[in-house]
Amino acid sequence: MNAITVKNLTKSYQGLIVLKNLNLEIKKGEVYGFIGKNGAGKTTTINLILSLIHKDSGDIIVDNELILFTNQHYKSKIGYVPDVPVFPSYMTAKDYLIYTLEMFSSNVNFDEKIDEVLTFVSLDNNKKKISSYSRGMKQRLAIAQALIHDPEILIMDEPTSALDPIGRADVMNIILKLKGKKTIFYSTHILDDVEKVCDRIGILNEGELILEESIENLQEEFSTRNIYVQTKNNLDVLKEKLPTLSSVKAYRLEQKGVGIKLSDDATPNDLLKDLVALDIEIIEFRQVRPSVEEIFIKETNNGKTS
Amino acid sequence: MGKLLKYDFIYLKKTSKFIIFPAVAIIFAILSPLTARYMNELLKFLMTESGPIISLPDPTVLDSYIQYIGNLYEIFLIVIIFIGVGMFMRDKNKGLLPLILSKPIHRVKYLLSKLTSLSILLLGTLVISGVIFSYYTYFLFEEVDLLIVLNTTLLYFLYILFILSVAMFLSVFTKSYASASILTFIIYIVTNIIGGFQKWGLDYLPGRISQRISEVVIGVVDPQTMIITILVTIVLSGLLLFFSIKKFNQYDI
Repeated sequence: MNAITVKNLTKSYQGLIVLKNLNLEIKKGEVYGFIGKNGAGKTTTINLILSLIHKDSGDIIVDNELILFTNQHYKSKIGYVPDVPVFPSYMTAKDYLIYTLEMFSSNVNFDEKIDEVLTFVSLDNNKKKISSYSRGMKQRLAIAQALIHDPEILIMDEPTSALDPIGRADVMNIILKLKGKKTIFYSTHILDDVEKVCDRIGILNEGELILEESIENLQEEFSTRNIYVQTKNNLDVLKEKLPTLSSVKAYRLEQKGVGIKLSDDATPNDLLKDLVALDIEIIEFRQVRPSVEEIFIKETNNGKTS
Repeated sequence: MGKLLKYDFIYLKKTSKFIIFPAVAIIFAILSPLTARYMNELLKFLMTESGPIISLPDPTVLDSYIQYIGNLYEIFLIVIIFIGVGMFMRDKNKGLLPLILSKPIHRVKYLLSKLTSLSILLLGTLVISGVIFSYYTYFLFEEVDLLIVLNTTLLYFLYILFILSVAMFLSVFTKSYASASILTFIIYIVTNIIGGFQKWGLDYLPGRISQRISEVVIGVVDPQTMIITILVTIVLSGLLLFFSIKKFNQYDI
């Protein structure tokens, strides 16, 4: 069951195509990382889903409902967190949340709901005007206003891009707390964050989705034939013995262990057997998995790793 | 639209527009009859004995009406133009629109709410200042025609609606506060200049309303030309509103 489906979505600005027949399927309950370089079309996609801009062609379906630009009803199912949220400076956090609840025609007990959400984002007991908030506090308020009407879907457009490390950690913790409770469509170019929270990722490059997979499968698919080995033996012993093994194609000594590239027909098991046969005492033996960043760079550079 | 109106009124209140508009209008409501009543004494006081002797007619209640309308037409309208454009452009220029329109808010209602709230505030302001003006005029001239005050207030409000429609139209079609407010101001000036021509039907345009107000004051109203001017102003304001809404609906935020 999909929370958001995007079919052949195309958008251009003054003849310049920024999205080319984009297809996306965001499953209910998952955290979907929508990653891409600046200008790849991430914000355009989000703005199209929210009907903030007009599409050239294609369809957007939210919770089985085909979205028309004039349709407002579906927005009740969505909470939106922009990259740099701007609020009326004369309001307090509570004022803004009351405004949001009224705009969503919510029937909940306002005071209880506001207290609950402000506590969730650690902005409780804050009676200052929003104009005095730090960027991190504004971002947490943006999350609060996105959650206040209890939407099924949370759309976050680079929510940590403008924050310092502490603000970023706060926001990431909030997202982690929401994981499994909401469908989260999370756009970012900070790839460390993606690995922490996302179930699946889609890589957008120049308006086209070039890759879509779960992080686990991606790491498996892109895994290099590299093994990291740490032993009790002196590294000089390894340096002497490794070139003699048929399972080793190349190796590189590192600070505590050694990175080994398997030969073409060897498996990690073969290498392990060879090392044991050489009486090497192994402390750590693991396959080196690529980070999302490495996969991203590889894919967006058409295979030319930097 | 009620909820949007509520928050537009909160904005007007929190940003002191609820004070600025009535304060400016009330100052004119008090000063206009005072100026009309004592201008002659002031001029006589300033004239030296050796200077030329100018005979000034005694001030009448008509001078008070004309002084009041003149003040509203000049300074008060300029305040309306710059604050009005600011209200229409604020959300767009300050980056508030994405969060606002990510909520289930219809774009047409959003725009109409801004126009309606500002119009209601200005109508209220004109009613209050009209009452104060009538009181001071009666106090100083011992007579006042409330029907004249009512008719001139309504005609002036119609002109304000036209100027607000221009301000909204330009706020939607331009990108900066400066360009929208300067263009609105230029249109206000040009409209008034065109209103001075009494041929080719130009005297039916909104700029002619000030002339129509004078006709009401001196009691020489031509019902036919008055109705045509009012209708032309309403139609032009409606067209400006229609195209503002159309453009705003097409606008990519």
